[in-house]
Amino acid sequence: MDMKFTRRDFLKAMAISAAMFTAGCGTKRDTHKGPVEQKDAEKWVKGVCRYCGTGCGVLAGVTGGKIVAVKGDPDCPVNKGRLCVKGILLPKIMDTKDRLLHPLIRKDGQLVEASWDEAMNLVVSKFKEAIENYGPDSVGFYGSGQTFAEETYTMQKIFRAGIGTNNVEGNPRTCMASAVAGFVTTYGADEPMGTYADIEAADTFFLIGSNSAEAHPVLFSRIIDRKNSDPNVKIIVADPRKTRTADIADYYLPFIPSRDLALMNAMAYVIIEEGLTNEQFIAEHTEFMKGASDKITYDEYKAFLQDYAPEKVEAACGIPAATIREVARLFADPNRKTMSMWCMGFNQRTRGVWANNLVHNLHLLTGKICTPGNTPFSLTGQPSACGSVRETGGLSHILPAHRFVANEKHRNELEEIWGVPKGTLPSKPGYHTLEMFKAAVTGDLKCLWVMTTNPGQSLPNLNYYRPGMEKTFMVVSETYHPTRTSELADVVLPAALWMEKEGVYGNGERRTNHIAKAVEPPGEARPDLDTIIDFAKRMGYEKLVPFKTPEEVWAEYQKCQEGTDMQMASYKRLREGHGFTWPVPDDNSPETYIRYAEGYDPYVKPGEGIKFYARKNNRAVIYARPQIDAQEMPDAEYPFFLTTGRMLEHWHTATMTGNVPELKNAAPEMYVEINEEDAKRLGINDGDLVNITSRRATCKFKAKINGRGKPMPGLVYVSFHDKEDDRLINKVLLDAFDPGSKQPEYKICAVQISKAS
Amino acid sequence: MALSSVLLKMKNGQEEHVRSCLAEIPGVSVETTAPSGELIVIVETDNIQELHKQCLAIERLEGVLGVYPSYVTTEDESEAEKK
Repeated sequence: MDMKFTRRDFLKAMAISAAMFTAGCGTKRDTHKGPVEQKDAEKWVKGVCRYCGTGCGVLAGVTGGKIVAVKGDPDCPVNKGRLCVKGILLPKIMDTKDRLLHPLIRKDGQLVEASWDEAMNLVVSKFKEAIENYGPDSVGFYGSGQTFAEETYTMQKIFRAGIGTNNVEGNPRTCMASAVAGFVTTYGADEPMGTYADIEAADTFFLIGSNSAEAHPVLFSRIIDRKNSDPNVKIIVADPRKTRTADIADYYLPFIPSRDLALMNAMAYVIIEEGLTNEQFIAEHTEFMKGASDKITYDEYKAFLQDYAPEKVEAACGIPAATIREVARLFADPNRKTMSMWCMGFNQRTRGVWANNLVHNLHLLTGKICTPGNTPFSLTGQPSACGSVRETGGLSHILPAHRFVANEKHRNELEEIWGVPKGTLPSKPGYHTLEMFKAAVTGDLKCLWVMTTNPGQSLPNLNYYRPGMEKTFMVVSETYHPTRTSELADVVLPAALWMEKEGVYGNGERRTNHIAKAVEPPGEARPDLDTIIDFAKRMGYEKLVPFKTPEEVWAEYQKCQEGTDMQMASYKRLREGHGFTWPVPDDNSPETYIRYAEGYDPYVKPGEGIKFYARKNNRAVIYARPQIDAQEMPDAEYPFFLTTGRMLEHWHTATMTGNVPELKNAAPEMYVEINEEDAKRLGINDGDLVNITSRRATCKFKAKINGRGKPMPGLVYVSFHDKEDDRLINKVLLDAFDPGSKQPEYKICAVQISKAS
Repeated sequence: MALSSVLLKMKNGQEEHVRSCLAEIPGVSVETTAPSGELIVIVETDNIQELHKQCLAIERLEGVLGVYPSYVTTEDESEAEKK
């Protein structure tokens, strides 16, 4: 009998051991210790997943200069060793056929290889020419929630303190600006008070506008664990499309698209009518408003809600009044802890800010906030939309560390830190996303630098915006080529990817986490920070950007955080740890589990209890926000709702996942999900080719009936990952946007559907 | 060769059904049931393409709520490439 223990046996034993540990069968570890020593690769390097906003810790096993294995970081409190089916294939995004290895510049209409020197000289000459002839607002930067914090921080500094424009924008505008505005208008400051740790403490989950089973699989696994651990745990899922998330729901609410405002007002009505409010909390910690700043009384708010009695709105919402009452009681039950979670279904809406305000209302009315398991929680779509954009000042109206462009004191604080004369920073907010790309169409924006994102595929109403990207002088910093954006560029700069460079990500729970460099970038690709520093030097902003390393950038960024409520750990501590939820006032401070709460938040003194200190009167706002339908509702001519979203196998515009054969083969093209009854009525069978036509464009997809998602009657659904012209669904979408957050409407527009010939 | 350990979450009462389905998938073995109720499954295939195909096949089984890989290695594969 051959008793030889092979290398394969060893690897198998390692795999089982990792799974056992992840399943909670291992010894409890100090989660802030360094990576576990392993012997199944030459070295293991600590990082963070490149995909969604969950922020899973990963360990990349490197052998021979290549990443050969990936496992979940067992010491990262986010995922505790767990990954999703996309995450395990991360090494596959690195050595792809379309990796861009050299700079490209457009000559005679063609993109051709160039040296870095030639490419950067061209970029700088074009930017200087535009600024000289048309002023600083003729140039812009469009970044991403996938850059490192150090990259966005440095670029926004160049644009604001160097060039003199606030045309610093980023794709988080398209995914979470409404959540930002929701937090700011309700609590006075961005980002959630709770963290993922609330999942293990909650008894009731209210999931609305979120398909976490596919978009945030590891968080979904934590919710399942919580449900399995206690039969008393109940889950409410509200979504017009029945998704895999609804598989674990105790209550599934398929509300009519855009009528969730009425639904939540109806829940608030029930909470008040049935005496389920926390009156002491309301009296001590809240105030009432309508509009942006009009104060109203509690009684006036109650009067406003009279139009939202469940029996009055059940038809409009599509949810029986009795069900609304049941879920409101469950939400407000004083003996239970309630966590709400939402994502793009809330945010990508023309009334996204109001939707956010209304879910906050429910927590404030019941006092289910700022204690373990009681929290509203906004999920995020990108790995560092919070850390690299919301926090660093990567949008046109904000400055680093949650400061605002329009606030003179905030500008002056930064001018002092940056050592530039008072008055240097421009006071007028720059273009928001759709304005920026519209300015490219109209010719007002002469130069645009796009970094780590793909607006040529991801903007709504694409046919309007793509010609602008072609017309303006566009620089694209990208890892891959061609993308639907790089194909329109004048200069494409090859970017190092993920663990080919060092930097910091910040996830959706305020966790700042460090990614170490594991391997060298291929060809002439280099970290975007190096490119940005190079740009600064060539533009003459060397004094503004004296940095040589990401750590030096971080040290200055930390200075910007001093005196704010958003202080973060030092680079040294980040390198050694597995992420820290801010505020972390100094390196001896623990991370902060719950903001605004005594005993957790270092800025709340003993005896203060709960204090919403980002508002002048320390009170959060309960808003009277009426139901307003989406801008484009179905009518006789365009009788269906169209909504878009994500699927498990792909991520965003699939520049990464579309490059991984395993994922590409699993879902090679997107399809349209149609309700079974609608399909039958229209004579459409599963697999038939179907036209989807809006007032803007037509796309063709194969029909999917009773697939993994089941839209309610009158609704069709398409994932937006497909780049092929016929299936570029964003051409069909409406480019309306929320008047407060300026976030575009991706979730609702009106379409016709018909069998294609 | 590619090898992965995955944690598999199931709807309540579906373990027996899921186990019988897994037994039909080549290269898939159930190691144990964790105290949390998850199945710890090893997936072994010729290459990572097949491995991922199997993971997705598991993900789509009736009764499965989610598949969560905790470890993947293609070390043998890269060794084979060198040779």
